[in-house]
Amino acid sequence: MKRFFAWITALLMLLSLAACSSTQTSTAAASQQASTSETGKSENELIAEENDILAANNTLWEKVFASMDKNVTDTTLSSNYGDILMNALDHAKDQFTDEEYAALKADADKIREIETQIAALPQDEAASQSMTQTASTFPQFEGKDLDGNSVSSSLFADNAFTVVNFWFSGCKPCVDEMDDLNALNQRIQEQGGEVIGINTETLDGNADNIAAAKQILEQAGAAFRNIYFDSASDAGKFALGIMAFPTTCVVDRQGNIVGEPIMGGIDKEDNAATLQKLIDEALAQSQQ
Amino acid sequence: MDKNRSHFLVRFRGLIQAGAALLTNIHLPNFLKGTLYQGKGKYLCVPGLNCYSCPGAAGACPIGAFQAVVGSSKFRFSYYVTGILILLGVLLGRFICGFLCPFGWLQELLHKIPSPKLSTRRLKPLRYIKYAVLLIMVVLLPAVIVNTSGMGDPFFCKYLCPQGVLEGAIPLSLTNAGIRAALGKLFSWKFCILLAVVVGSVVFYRPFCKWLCPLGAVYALMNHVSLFQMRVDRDTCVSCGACAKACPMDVDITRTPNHAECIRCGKCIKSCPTKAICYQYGFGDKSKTEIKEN
Repeated sequence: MKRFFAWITALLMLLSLAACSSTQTSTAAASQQASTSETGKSENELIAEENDILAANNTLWEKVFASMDKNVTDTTLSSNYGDILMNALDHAKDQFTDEEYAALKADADKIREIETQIAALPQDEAASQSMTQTASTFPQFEGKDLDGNSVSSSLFADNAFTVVNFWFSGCKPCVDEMDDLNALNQRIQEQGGEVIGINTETLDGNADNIAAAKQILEQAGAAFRNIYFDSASDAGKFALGIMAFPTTCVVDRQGNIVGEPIMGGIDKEDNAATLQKLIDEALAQSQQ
Repeated sequence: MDKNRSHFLVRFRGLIQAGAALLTNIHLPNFLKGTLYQGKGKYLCVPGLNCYSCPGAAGACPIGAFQAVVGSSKFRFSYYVTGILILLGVLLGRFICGFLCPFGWLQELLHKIPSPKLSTRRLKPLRYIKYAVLLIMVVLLPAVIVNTSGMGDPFFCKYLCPQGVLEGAIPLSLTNAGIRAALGKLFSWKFCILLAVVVGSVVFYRPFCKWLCPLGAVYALMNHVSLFQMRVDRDTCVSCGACAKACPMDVDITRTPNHAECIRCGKCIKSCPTKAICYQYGFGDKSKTEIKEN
């Protein structure tokens, strides 16, 4: 009997965990959900569907392909594959019976639809990759600074170079380097440079987190601009894909990230040296 | 729990340890990608010592999570993590060390490497270091030594934990150039600790668990009140001392069946010639056993 009660107690205690887990959010680093594609099917699945359609009327389509213009131009590459098939089909129309033509036309229509779906797929992969792997362009964004003024990625064009610092409020090394970033911001102003902070907890304009971030900045005497944007935007996914904080990168006037982003505080000597090298590089590029 | 079930648990302990290590680090593809799982699982703590920053980690390390909360500007103590630790301690106690902790398993595997093995019987006072580590590095320093915003460092993770180097720093730096560039003196220092623990584990049985682990210290304190206990049948025990000799944690199970150092590995169960020892789950059944605690 005692054992029975022991097991029941154990089970109850375990179940009680479920109640805690959903509300508690203050563990370790900022835990962010990976974004998922909203469309039901992946690109690969859609392409497989297209291939199935073509395979069903394989012999007829072979004829169409044989009569196709083999010169691949930029326009053929960029236009909808369904349209290309339709064009080719119209050219080779007289090789088919009316019935065959109608079937092929229906296939081409279906493919055009699938192509539109593929084009509408979010380009998740590129944006959610970690910073070190992405191409060098800083993703586009439209957002606000913590005081509510609108900003967008056009701000890069206004500066000779921009130092972008990713942080979050619970990150001690991030908070510890705020005064250094502020000093840097003042120092680079005459060179046309600017420090921009992005607190990943303020994304989507979370009011409480913005207040917390502002308090930290105020305490550190940091006056440089901090901005936020939608977490669902390309830049948002980019920011949430970062897994080491603080991360600092240098963006040139054209909006390209110069070199590799720096992980770790710039209050460390070697990181400060690396940052200076990136700044020099960005300056050289913007003067070209 | 009857004797057969106890023997079953002991026989398959290695498999259970391997399974637990795998489940704790289930996101295997992340090792190749050099990224971390950042989903909702990280709101929960795993039972063993397993770094949050391990690419495969399914949950948070309880010791790491505790320091993160204590070190934040908003909190001075983490009731949530403490609650989880007490719960796990009551449910399983140091059974977690013996069966579920990936770092304990690693040390045991290393101990299988043939070499002269040294006894830790004379080093018993070192056991108390882990309580100091728990109190000072995990509870006090992160809350007391703070910057102007009231934030403290996770002292244990930052300065001592070899599991963080093994599971976090090493795999991440292998695949991630940015992390590699960020490695500094702290990494070298903790790498030396890891090396010492690895070499130490070959000649000693579980040196980190015995002397340093703050999580082991928590479960050690809970061992006395845990539902998972050892039972010695006084009627069948012939007091031959085989169990005490077999115990790699230097415990005499017949005198102190729920000693803080007992990790429930079951070597005593295996060694007992009269099968007088078994596991017991529940509130204790004193009609059959006389549990004497010193």
